[in-house]
Amino acid sequence: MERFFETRKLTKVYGGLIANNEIDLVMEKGSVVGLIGPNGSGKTTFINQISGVEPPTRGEILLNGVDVSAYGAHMISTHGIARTFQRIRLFHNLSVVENVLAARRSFYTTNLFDVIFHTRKLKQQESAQFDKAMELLAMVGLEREAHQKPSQLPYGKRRSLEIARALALEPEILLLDEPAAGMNKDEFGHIMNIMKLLKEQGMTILLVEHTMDFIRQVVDTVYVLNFGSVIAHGTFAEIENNKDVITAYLGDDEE
Amino acid sequence: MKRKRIYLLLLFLIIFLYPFIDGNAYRLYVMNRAIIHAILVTGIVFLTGFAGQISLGQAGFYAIGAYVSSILSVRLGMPVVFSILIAVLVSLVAGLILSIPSFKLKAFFLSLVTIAFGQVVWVLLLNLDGLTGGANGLFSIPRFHFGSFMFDDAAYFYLLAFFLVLVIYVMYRIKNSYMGRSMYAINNDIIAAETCGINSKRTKIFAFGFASILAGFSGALYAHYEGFLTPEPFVFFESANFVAMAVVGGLHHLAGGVIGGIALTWLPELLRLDIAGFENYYLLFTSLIVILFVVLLPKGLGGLFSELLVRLKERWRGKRGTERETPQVRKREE
Repeated sequence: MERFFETRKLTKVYGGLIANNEIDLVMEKGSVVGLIGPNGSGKTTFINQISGVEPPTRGEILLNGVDVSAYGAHMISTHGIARTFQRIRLFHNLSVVENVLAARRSFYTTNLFDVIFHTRKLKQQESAQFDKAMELLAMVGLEREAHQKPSQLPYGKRRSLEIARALALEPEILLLDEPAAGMNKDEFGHIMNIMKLLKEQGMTILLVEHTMDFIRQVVDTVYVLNFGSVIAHGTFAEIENNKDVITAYLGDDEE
Repeated sequence: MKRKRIYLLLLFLIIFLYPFIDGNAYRLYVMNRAIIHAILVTGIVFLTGFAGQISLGQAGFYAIGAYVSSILSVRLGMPVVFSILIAVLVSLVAGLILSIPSFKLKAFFLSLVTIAFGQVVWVLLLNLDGLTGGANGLFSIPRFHFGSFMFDDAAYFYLLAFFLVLVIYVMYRIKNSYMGRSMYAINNDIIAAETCGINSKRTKIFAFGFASILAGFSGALYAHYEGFLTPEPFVFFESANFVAMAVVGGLHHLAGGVIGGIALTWLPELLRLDIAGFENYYLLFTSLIVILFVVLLPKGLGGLFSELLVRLKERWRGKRGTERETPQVRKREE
């Protein structure tokens, strides 16, 4: 029985610190999985590992039954796992639409010859990719700002842009690292709408989030991390009353 | 669109007329040297400005291009066109090898490795007497010729200008394509670029390769213009000078290499003139001016010119009472 996505005993060790300890996590296709835990519990490390940013120390990452744990980030991202960052990381020299276009790199089949001689093939691909990028911007509500620089965008829209850029990879799985962090009410609502739209479209999402309100509304299952290990998983209602979880969170983070 | 063509036509006209207007042999010589520098520095703009990789060893590639082509043509009697081609290839191979440390090293550490590369090349030039002539150098290097047509200074000027325009055109195409976007992406944020499916290693190899081709090529062009080579113009100071040219011209500007290369080749020459009266201190003043540029104009002369052009255009349009067309509107109509 082949699962869509799972990690097996995924472990990351920094010197003497075990940041992720044998994490087994399963995602069904089209599900939204929440990943929560107190600060420093290893959530971002986990995302970094499955997006290829940091190589795992041990363990497997299986996508459609294939172990992708040895792939670098650019390989994983073109094999179906895209991500956003906790601290927004956009390309500030590129315009908004170019930021999305940058993530379409792997969809071009042209080469240096086409670029230098500006062949018809290149023009067709550039305009097709431009249309695709604009489509994605329209989806997150940024089509009017397409030719601005990311630095001209308000904070919430930068988040949306990062999501659009991740979606440009046409991923099977989207990893969102605290998409609602630092947002005001309007921006929060907007991100929520994008999430719901993606869910309707059948996107598989792994969501790291501190805002319990957000988690409650969108996730199917939740994994709770503490000190690098999974201490509970289940539906939100199940983990809400889990003793270990309450202990881990006590006096912390019930925003 | 039409106005752009007129600008281009004007530019070509200036290039075409320059040797006629200015018959002075010395100034033509300096101009030719300036264009050779401009070709090399354009490579640095590509490498550092676009892809964000530092190289303080470009004089090494410059030397490889110059010496390989000279040795092949002097010692083996190879036709100049072929010797230049091979020199560029050798330089490219060296560039690809030098791109390997850039996978792991960033800014400061990478610049140390590239300085070391330049030094290694320089030491080899000095000590491989049998091939390079050592400190005495190489003499009677054939001038650039094509078949039986010898290029005199004016003809060489046209040839160099042609190559420079060609290089800028190629760079323009790359900059405005997915390749340029990938380079800017790894420049701005390499981790984000990797998670966007951009192979940063491949992009770095490409940038280093392109810059080393241009440096090797300009080195060969220099050798077959000057007619003799000594190791002196290939010291570390020259590498630093090339980077200074790129910075003064504008690291993020397509024409940055051209403007910086030409400006900083002329500057010491101008300061050396008797009227300027700085003949003994011209290096000091050159350095001072470069420092001022870096501090006051981080976008370089290229950025300054672009900004002035935009302002002038705005003022001109404002006078005619037409509203300025925003790029957003234009793009969407396309």
